Amino acid sequence: MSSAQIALSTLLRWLSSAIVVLLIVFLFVPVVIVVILSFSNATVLQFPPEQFGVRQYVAFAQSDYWRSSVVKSLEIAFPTALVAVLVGMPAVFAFNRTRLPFREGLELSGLAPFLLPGVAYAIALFAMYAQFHIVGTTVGLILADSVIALPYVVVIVGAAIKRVSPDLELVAMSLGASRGRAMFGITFRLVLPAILAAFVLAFLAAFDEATFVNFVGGPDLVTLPKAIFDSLRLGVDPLITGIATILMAVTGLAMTGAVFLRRT
Amino acid sequence: MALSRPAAGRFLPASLPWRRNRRNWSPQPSAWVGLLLATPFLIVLVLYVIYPFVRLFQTAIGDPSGWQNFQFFFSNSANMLVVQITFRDAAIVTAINVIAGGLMAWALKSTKSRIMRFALLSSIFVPFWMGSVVKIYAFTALLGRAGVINTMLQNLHITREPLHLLYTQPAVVAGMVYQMLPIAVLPMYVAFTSIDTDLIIAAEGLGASRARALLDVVLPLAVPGIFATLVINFVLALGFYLTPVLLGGLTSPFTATLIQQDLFAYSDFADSSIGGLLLLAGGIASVALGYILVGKERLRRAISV
Repeated sequence: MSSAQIALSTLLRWLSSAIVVLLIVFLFVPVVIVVILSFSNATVLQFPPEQFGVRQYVAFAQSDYWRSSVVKSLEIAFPTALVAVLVGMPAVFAFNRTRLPFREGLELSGLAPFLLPGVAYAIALFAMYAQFHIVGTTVGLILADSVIALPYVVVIVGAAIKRVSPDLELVAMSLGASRGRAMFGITFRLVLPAILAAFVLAFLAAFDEATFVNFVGGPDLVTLPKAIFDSLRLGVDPLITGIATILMAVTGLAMTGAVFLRRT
Repeated sequence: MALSRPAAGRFLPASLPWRRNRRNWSPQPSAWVGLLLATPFLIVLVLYVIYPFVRLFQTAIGDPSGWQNFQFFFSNSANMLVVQITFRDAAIVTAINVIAGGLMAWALKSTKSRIMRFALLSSIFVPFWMGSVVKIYAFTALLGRAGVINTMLQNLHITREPLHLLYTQPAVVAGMVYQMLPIAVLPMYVAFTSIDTDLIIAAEGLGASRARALLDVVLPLAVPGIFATLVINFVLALGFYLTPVLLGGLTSPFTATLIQQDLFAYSDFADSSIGGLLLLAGGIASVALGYILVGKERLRRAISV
């Protein structure tokens, strides 16, 4: 290599390192800004904050509107995750452990809700809900959200069940277990951590869902993301930074928990 | 014939009904059991994935003027511009994400520094903790007239007037890049980890520069993973709703905003349905292209991480 080439490749290496560092900063800035702003005592957005305090957290705790939106989100997210797991889990067993025809293609189709462009899907669901007059119903939103949460179950539980050798069930059956008992006592128990992880991620996806609720939720179903969305259209309310910080902490814990569940 | 199987009927009568199918026994449960287990899933698939789009299509060719709705939609040059800009910006976002994400994924694979690794990993995962609307909120707080960037620029006397940053197309692009960059890094990281780095040393030993080794040896091996990431990013970018509406403003030239305005301001079902169908067509076309070029296995892996 000539010295010019060495200089060039060193330059390229430095350049790409610099870009990577800038990207890391870019990814962190919004997070850091939100957390810092949440400890500002100002009633308007102010950076850097002149006075630090917990005003945003107190204001959030005292507001009925925001509290009820959190309750609404929980009311939606729990059943949603439950439906997603109850629909997805048996299907994953069917795709991986039975002689169902077309099982591979069907398992792939479980990813469809993830691969359909979000707005297109939302307006399609709206068209269907308008036809049956179920726009704005809680059950309708739960069902719509569970479809979005379904790919998490199919992917996570599917990956876990593929790691469990089918021979284990054979061993159990050769030792006298019935087929059902072998499936339940061996495979199900081994993928249980993954099922729990899928439940957590499906719950978080539903809790965070903000596109469908705008279409099929109608004007009266106000979940937390919808409340933030509505308030953002009017301006920047610093109260949201408080909610956002709490949310980040809780979500971070839950996601880390889900990662550990998947590893076990 | 020395080791011929003993006839089942010699000691046990073969005619007993519960013995009849023993030879067809398989350790895997039958298709019927599979069908039973998969029934809820299949119902959801038909009712919540297939039917809504049938209904969307029916709405698009329904009131007010049937198939001519398409004609009216396409003859409106404002609509066409919006669709064009949507696809163009989705492509820009995807390109930025794949390049930036590729650099990050490569850095994550090749870095020896533990601090760098930790910084990279946490910069990828921490944004996931922030809710989707909160991310947009953060961008509004950063870019607004009285936002963080404008305040800092004015405090440092770089600009006198606040810059117009929010409600612009670059704001939407930046917001979308921010939301999808972590999603782009992970599948490429997985694809890169399967590449043997000793190949670079081998190439360099044969006289290639580092850049050349990366371009000619590593890049071809990484292409399928990169392409799968590209397809998925493009589809996701087409489907963004919150970001164009909130960071682009109510009149921003994005299909998502168009759909929202048509539906909630003008109650024009047909127009918004056609907008949705166009996005769907774009999404399906790019997934199909990805399927043809890199195969379903890589696409699945790119989604599944």
